[in-house]
Amino acid sequence: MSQANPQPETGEARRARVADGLARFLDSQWNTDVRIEGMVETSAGARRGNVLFDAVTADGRRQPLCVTYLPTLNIELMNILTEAELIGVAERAGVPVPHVHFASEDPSWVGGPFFISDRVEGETVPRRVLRQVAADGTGKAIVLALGQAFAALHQVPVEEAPAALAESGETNPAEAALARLAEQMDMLLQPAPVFSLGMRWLSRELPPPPPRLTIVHDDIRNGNIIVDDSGLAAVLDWEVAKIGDPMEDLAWPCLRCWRFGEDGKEVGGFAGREGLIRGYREGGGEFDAQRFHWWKVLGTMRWGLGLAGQARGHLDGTFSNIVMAASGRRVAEQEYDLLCLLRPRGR
Amino acid sequence: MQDRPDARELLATLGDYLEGELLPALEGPLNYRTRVALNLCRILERETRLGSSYLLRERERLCRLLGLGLEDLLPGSLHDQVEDLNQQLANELAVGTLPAGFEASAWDTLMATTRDKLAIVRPGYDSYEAREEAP
Repeated sequence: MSQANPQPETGEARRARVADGLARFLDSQWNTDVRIEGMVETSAGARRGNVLFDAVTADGRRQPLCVTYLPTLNIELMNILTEAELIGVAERAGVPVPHVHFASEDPSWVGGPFFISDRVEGETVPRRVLRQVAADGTGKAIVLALGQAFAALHQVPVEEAPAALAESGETNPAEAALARLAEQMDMLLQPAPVFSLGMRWLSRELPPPPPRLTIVHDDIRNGNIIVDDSGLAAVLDWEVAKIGDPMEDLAWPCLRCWRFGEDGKEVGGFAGREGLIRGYREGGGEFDAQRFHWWKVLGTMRWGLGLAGQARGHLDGTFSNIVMAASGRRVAEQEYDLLCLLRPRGR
Repeated sequence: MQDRPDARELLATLGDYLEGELLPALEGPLNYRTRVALNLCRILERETRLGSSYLLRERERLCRLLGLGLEDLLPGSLHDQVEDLNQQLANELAVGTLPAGFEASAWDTLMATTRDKLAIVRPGYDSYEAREEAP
């Protein structure tokens, strides 16, 4: 019995299929003929597709939109309806997000779950973002706006979070995160005493449960935000959000790996942490420097162990390619960053 | 003995080819992956030049920290000995109590070795020291 291997879909075929699905879907929602024009894929080949497009109705009105879709059902990190609901919650709390118009799990439209949102103009590619920010002088404003956005999100009562998020809550997120790190440590291919030193420090300094558990986005950083000439325009990619320790959220964009060479500017290469703290406090958040630092150490370890994991995936054949191989030689960067964060007094 | 060009010279040549001839002809994902390949060539070039002297230094530092002499090490290649010493240090750091000052000395040892690793994989990365970030 022989079966022909299906040919991989070409980019052109994919765009045509998505355009057709979007037109049919919007026809059904708006009860009018819709044409899809000006499609631009902003993350072709990534796990999720993001396509900017204009929806043009029969009367000639043009609406700039964006669709975020998964190629199939089974690679969702978060249910798409949950994500759309969460973005709505964040929007009502005052976090800048693209307004979501529709969300659907039905694969008959574009092949997998999707949501359609407003198209927010601006830049997302980190190094280009930093060039634009340098030209516009908006670094400090962005950091202040990030602090305000975090505060707004963390003010939302946990009961108002989508039910699926609330279920994932752990009583001490730090303890749970440390346990996951220990699992990653066990999978290392070689002894890594720098990480052993990090584990030792993290265990000793383990913070108690935070005063309040909150919604945390868990991946707000340079690369997951839209920046325009006046500053922060939108926060994207809500699919790893959870209920957790708010200081984990603030620490993540402050890792050196998100500064893209602007090392002295702690928050995403934009500016120092002062504005982040000020914006956070003005918005009603409580900044805890010690807890923030603990999560920065944990995040640096997590990133380093993640890179080691990519190299392992390359070597054992799970996911072999040159980029994954090269990740193994980037672990030392995270080891160095970790050691800097753990610098003993007087060194 | 192999004839010239030697390994280091060949890696330099390979890197120059990727950078000067191949990369300008490539776009998109292939351009990106070839940049990664070029970077790996440069890493190997530096490792060929510096790798064994850095491994010797790493062994010396670890021996000093762990209070071991060369005669205490298992017979084996330099690479295997260093790996074993790193395992011993990792084990030490995983247990509960350590002598006073050991953690700070371990930090010194690990910092020196990590700077050596970076000199091969990412020269210049350690010029930023994040002194304002530690509490």
